[in-house]
Amino acid sequence: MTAPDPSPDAAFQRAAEELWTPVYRLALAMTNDLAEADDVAQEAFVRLWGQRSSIDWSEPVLGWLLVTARRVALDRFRRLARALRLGSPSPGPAGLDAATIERFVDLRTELALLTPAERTAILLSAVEGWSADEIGAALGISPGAVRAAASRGRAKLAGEGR
Amino acid sequence: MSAGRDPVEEWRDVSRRAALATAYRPRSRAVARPAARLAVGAAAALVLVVVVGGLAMRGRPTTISPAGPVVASAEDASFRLDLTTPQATYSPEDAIEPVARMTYLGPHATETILHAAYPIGFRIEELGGQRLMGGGMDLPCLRTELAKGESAVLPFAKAGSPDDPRQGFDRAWYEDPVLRLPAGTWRIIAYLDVFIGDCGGERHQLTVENEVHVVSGDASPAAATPSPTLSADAATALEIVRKYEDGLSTGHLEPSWNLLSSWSKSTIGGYATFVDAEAREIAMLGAMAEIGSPSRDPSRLDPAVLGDRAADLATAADPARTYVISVHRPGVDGTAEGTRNLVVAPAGGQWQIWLDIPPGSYGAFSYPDGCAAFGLSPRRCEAVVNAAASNLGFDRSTSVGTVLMPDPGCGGDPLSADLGVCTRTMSFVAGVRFESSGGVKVRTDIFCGVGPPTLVCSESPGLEAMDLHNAGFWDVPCSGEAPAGCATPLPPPSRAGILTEATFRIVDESQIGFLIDPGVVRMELRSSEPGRPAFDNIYSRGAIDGPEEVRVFLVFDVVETSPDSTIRIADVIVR
Repeated sequence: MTAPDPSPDAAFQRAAEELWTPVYRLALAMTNDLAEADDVAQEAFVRLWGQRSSIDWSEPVLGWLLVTARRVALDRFRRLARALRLGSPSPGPAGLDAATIERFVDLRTELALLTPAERTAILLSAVEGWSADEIGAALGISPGAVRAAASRGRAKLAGEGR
Repeated sequence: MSAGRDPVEEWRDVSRRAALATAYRPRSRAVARPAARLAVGAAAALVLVVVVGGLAMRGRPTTISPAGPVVASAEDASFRLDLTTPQATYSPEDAIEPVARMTYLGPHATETILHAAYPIGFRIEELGGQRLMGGGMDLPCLRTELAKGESAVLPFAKAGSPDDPRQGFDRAWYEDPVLRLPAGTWRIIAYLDVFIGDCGGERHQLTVENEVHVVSGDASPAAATPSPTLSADAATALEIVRKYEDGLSTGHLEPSWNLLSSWSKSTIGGYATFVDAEAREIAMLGAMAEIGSPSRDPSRLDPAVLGDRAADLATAADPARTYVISVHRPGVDGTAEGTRNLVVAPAGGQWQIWLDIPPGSYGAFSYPDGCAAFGLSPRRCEAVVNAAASNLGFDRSTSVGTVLMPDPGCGGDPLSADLGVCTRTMSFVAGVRFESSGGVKVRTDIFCGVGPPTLVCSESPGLEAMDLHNAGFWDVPCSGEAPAGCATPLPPPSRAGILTEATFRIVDESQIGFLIDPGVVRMELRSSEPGRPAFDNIYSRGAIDGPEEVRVFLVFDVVETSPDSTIRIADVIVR
């Protein structure tokens, strides 16, 4: 006997509870900004909520969320880029301690050397354990391009560290 | 970036904390972010805005006739600070919403200011009374860039700790995210405190204040006024716990440590262990703590309930002034919530805290559930535990319990006033304690420092090329140190037959889709002539006449792989 399919609302709630961290991390890798990442991830989930009735909930929705988050992030890049040039990083999300925000300020500068694809390729393969295929799907590029981006990013970080 | 810090590891931890601090927020609920950006003017990018929590809790319309807004300003050569409170008179039920605005006046087109968590702080003082609140801010030295003429707007936000817990005012203060005040006359103070150039550099401080009146409309001000129902001792105990928790949640561990009893400190083992373990606790359970009321319920003060600390309490603390206060952390994003029962009592003329910690258990997390608390992925955590077992020569199949332990510190007296941190050349990863079926417990600590990349030391170990010279083959000349390469160059043999170069390069040192652990690709030369010894150096190996054919091997240990995994090697030179 199988459990009845959850309602779209329940399925959405479950997704919101379980998939926040990977979506937030993708957003953070792409935007390199704590508060922007929060906004991007929020927007991705809002769009999922809007689509909840037409989504096939029998399939994993993480891929859908990641692609949506990427698109949202790209939409916001122009505005974000200006803020980054101004050097005024937004404060971190609510509840995030100041020490962590301060750590990110340093880290953010170093990671700003990388393109969003390079950051995503390096960070999410290491941190989330995603494959080049998975990262490529999220970023809309080929697995080979993911590997190339990771390689370039590594070289940049190594150069920075010398 | 701190020297020697792996940015990927750092990002892993920071992103985890940030993800834990956030969550999907349904838009149907008005939940305010404490910080957001706001455009100022048509083309301006902001700056900094803080939105007070609880927008949904806006005050009800008051029946009291409001006076106009109260405005105060102050400025120096570079900044102006304005404070506006919408009304001069409020009822105790009204939300009071002061707003401070700082404006950069010049002389430069833009200026980077350095400040604490926020450039402006707030303080509330009762005129003719003793109640006050606000003040302290963290000092992380954050940067904000302001253009000339642009402003940063900060609505009032609650902060600080009470100056006198006996007033009972502090409790009501924190129970309501919105600023409401009891009947009386109050001074709302905003103070700007920023640096230009560098933290500790050119300091600018401005202070402005608004005076507002809070008048009870129903002649029962007591209903809205937090009444000091706690006894003096209970209020003090509560304040001690609040200060302790404030230190934990803001990352200022030293004041919290200093509030602990000697028994607690000795049981923990040392300040370094305390710092390490509490940071994990906060990361797992969140910084928000719900502090209960002081209790002298005999059932909670029963020695059987108090546990290991009961014996010390019986000898060191005044039983008539001993309180139990619960601190509940609701957990973050579904992580397990946690409740601690702190015992607070005066001892030796000072109020102290006894933690509930059986010896040897402080900061311990069971494996594998605790891996996340140590910032370790499941596979890296497994590698850490395996490394620990290997170090100890412990057979994991005999283990009945595996526990991840906090940083043991560097020894020394836990009661010492010297709280200097350890000076190490290596970083602490985790302590691992195994318990065998015979009840024997063994522990080792895993550190990382200089060495080949390994999964134990990094979630993303890179790849390192180890050619013959790096592996100890001395015929290959060194090239690193003056004057002649090696610090102690070997005398060259007088005849031919020296291997002069054996090197290669790894094109992409990242490992994506596979795992080589340790992350070393080692070069080996093997003679094609049967019976010839391994390549060591000409002195131990000897020379043969004529050329010697060799085969070049690149050796590495593959732990995980996927079908499309590729290691690209280039510039292989052997001569």
